[in-house]
Amino acid sequence: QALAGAIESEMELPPHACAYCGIHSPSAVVKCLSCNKWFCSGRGNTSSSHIINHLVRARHKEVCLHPSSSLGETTLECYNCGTRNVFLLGFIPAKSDTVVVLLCRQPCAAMPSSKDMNWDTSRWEPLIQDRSFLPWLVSEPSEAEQMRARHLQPQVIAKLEEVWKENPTAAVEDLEKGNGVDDDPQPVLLRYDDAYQYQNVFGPLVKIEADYDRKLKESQSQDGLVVRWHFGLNSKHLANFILPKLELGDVKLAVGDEMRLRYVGEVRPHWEGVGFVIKIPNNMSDEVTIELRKGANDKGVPTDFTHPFSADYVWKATSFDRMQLAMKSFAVDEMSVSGYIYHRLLGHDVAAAPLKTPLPRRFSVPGLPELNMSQVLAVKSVLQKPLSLIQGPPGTGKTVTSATIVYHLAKLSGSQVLVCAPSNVAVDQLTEKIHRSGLKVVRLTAKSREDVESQVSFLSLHEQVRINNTNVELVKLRQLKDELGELSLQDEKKFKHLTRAAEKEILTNADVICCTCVGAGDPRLAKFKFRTVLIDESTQAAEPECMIPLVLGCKQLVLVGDHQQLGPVIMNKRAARAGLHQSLFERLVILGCAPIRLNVQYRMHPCLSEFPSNMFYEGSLQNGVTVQERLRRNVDFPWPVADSPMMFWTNLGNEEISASGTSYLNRTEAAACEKIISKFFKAGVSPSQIGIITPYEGQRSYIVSSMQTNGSHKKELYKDIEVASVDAFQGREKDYIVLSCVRSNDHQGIGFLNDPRRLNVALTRAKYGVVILGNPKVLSKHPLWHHLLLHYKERNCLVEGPLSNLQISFIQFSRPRQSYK
Amino acid sequence: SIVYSRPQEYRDPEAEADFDREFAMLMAESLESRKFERKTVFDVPLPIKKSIVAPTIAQPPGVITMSMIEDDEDEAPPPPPQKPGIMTFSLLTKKGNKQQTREIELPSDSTFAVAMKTKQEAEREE
Ligand SMILES: [Zn+2]
Ligand SMILES: [Zn+2]
Ligand SMILES: [Zn+2]
Repeated sequence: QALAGAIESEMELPPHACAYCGIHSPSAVVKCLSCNKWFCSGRGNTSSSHIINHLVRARHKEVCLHPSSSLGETTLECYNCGTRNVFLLGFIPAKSDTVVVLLCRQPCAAMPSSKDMNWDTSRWEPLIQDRSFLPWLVSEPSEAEQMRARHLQPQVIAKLEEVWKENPTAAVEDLEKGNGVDDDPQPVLLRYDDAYQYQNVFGPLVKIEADYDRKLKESQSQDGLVVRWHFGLNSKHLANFILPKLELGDVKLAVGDEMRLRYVGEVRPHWEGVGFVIKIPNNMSDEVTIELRKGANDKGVPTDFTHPFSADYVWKATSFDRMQLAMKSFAVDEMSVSGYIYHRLLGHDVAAAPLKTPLPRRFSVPGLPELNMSQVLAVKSVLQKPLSLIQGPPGTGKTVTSATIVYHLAKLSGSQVLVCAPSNVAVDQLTEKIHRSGLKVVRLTAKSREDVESQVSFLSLHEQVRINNTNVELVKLRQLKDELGELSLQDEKKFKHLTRAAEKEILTNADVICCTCVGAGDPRLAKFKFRTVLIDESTQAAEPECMIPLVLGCKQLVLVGDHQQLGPVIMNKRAARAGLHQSLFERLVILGCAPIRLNVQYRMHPCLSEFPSNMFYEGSLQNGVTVQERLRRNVDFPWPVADSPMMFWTNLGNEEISASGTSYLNRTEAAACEKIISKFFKAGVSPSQIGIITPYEGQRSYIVSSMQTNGSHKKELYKDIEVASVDAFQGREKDYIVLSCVRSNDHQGIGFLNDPRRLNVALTRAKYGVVILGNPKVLSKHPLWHHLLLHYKERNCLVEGPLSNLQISFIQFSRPRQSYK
Repeated sequence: SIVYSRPQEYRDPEAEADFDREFAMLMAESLESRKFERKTVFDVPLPIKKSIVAPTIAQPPGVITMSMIEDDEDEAPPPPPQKPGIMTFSLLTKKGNKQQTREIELPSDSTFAVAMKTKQEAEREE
C-alpha cells in the first residue's frame, strides 16, 4: 500500500481529480462551487458517494458539472427560480415529450400542474438518490478506476473535512504527516486509584456531553411557527405549535423542558414568554404544547396572533451540574459513601462485611404478588449484602422484586430508603408498587413537572403538602395566592418558608423517598442521609448519573437492571466512545460482581422467548407461562404455524426519505402494517393491546397517517394504537407487536437496528404474538439478524405473499458480514 | 477472467448514523428555508425542436410530436443509434436567457423511461 501511495503521488493528478480519492474521469466528477474542489461519484468504503460526503460534511450545496462531461459545463440549478441548492433539486418530465427539466422541490415543484400545462410536477424526482447523484447526471466511476483510487476510511474523510475548515489547501498527505494529535478524551477505566482520578476521568466526559447537549438543544430554535392559543383551566396560556425539527429525532423534547416563545412579526410590538412543555407529539396530534409561566406581562400575550412566532429551547445545566457535584462530593466528602462502597465503586477488592440485617420470615409482601423461587432468592441475597446487582430480563417481575426488596429494607433496617431510576416513568411505576405494600412513600418531582399527571400524583411531595392542612397559616396563604394570582412580597416570603417547612416534615416522616437519579440532587434532599439506596433500571443511567443518589451517605446499594437491554442515551459520540455509555452496573459486572438473574419470564408465549433467551441470556430464561395461556384461539390471524404466534413477513419495498426529508419511511411496510392491524381488529383485538415498533420517526408518522387513510375500520381505532420507537417501549408490554424495520437498501446500513440490545427489547415486548416486517435480503447481511431470520425460517414462520394467502418464503439470505467487536 | 473486488470493510454504524443525521438535517434545513418562498406556477413552453418545426406533417396546434420517434430527427446531426437499454431524453437548461437542450441517456428501465414508454404505447393504440 505504501508503494501504491508513492507511485500515485509521483504522477500529477489533473486539477479536477476527486479531492478525496483522485478519480478524475470527467463524467464522474463534479465541482463544488463553494470551495472549488472536485469530487467523484464513487463511494469508496462509505455509504455515500464522495461528492455527497463532501457536501454534507462541509455543508456546501452547489455544484457544477465538468466541461467535458456529456452535459458540458452545467451548473445544476432550478430552471424556474435559479436556486442551486442540490438538496432541493430534482427533475420533472414534460407530459408528452421526452424532455426533462431541473426544478426545485420547494416552491417550484410544489405547485400542482393543471391539466393544460406541458409539465408534470407530480412526477418530481430528486437528483440525489441513495446518497449519490443520479447516474445519468454524474456517472459512477468504473470498477477499474475505483480499484486504482486512493482508499480513504470514513474517519480520514471526516478528519480531512475538519482540516479544510482551517486550511482549505491541505491534502490527504498533509493529514498523514500531522497525524498523532489525538484530541479524544481519556477513556473510562475499569478500576480507579481514588475518587479524584474517578472525577478526573468522568468530569471531562460529562462536560463534553453537557456542551454537546446544549449546542444541540439550542440549535433547535425555530422560526416561522404558527401558534394555536388556548386558555388552560389553571388560567395559564397554552401555546400549541408544530416543531418540524423534532422529526430529526436528535433532540428528545420532553415534558417539563423549558422553551421561550417569541412574537417576531411587524404588526404589533415584539413579545416573549417562557413556559414548560406539557405535551409532545403523539398519536393524537403532532403538536407541541407549552404552558406559559404566569408573569408580569400576562396581559401582553399576543393570543390574537397566530404567526409569525419563534421558539427557542431554554437549556438547563441542572442534571449535568448535579453529576459533577456528586463526583466532587464522592472525592472530597468522606461521609458521602461508606468505606466499603467507596472501594467497590473504584473497583478495589475489599472483603464484604455482611450487614447485620435480620432476615424476614416471609419474603412475599402484603399487597404485592407472591414471589417465585428466583425472585425469593434475589430478595434474600440482597438484604444482607452491602452491594448487589439484580438482572431482570424482560417480563421477569423486576419491579415487583424491587418493591419487595424496598419493603424489607425499610422494615428491617429501620432507616429511610432512597429509591431512584433514571426515568420518571420507571420511578412512577415503582412508586406505585411500593405504595401498595403499605409503606409511607413520597414521590419527589422536579418543580417543572408538578403539573404533569401520573398514576402517583397523590403521592407527590407538592400534592402531599397541598392536602396537608395542619398549618392554618399556610392554608390561608395558599387560598389567597390561588385567588389573587400573586402575593405581596412579604406574604410570598412567608408562604415559601412555610412550604419548605411542610415539605421537610413530610420527607422526614416517609419510609421511602422516590425520585429520578437526577432528582436525588434536589436541594430539598441536601440535608438528608440515605444509607440504603435502590436504583431501578440502573443500566439505563450513565455512571455519573448513578452517583447522584449514592453520595447522600450510601452504605447499602442495590442496582437493578439488565445490561442486555438498552443502555443510557449519550448524545455526544466522543463521550460515548470514551465509555460514558457504559453503566455502573455493567462495569461492576465486568469487575466480577455477578448479578443475580431473575430467570422466569411471565410475559411472552414460549415461542417468543426462545430466541431472546438463547441469544441474550445463555438459554437461561424459563417460561412462567404455558403455550395454552398465551394462545388466543378466538383471534383469527393467519399465523403460519397455528401454535406459534410469530412470523417474519417478507417485504421487499424500498425505503425512502420521508416527506420532510428528515427521516426514512417504507411504503410497502406501512401498507402491510395497516393490513395486519385491520386483520387484528377484525379478529376482535382492541387497539390498546397492539403496539407498532419502528425505529424511524418518518415511518412512525407515515404509518399513523396511512392507517388513517387506508384502514377499513373506524379511524378512532387506528388512532388509539401506539406507534413508537423501540426506546419508547422499553420496560413495557403489549399483547401483539408489529415491528416495521424500514431500512431496505444496498449501500447504507440498517441504522438503529444494528444494536443487539435494541433488537432484544423489540422482540420481547409481546405476550401473544409478533409480526416482523422487513427485507430478509438486506437484514441477513447482519450476523444477528441472520440468526433471527434462520430461526424464523427453521420454524416455518418466514413467509411472503398477500396476507390472505401467505406462503413459506424460500428467499435466499445474504452472506452475513463479519462482525467486529 | 479475474474478478477484483474491494474488501468489504467494517463500517462504524454510529458514524454512519451520524452521517445519516447530518444529511437529513441538511435536507430539512434546505426545505425549511424555502417554506415562505413565493409560489409561482412553472409553465414554460416546451423547447421547439427542429424536427417539430420541419413541416413534415401538419400538426393541429397544441399537439407536440414525440421527438424520440427516430424518423423525426431528420435535420439534427445523425443521431447515435438508440443503444439497447437506453432511452434518450433532452434536458432543458438555460444559458443566460436562452433555452438550450442537451441529450441525456436514461436507463430504459428507470421509472421515467418506463412511464414514458407506457404513455407512448397507449397513445399509439388510440
Ligand atoms: Zn465544497
Ligand atoms: Zn472520490
Ligand atoms: Zn425553483
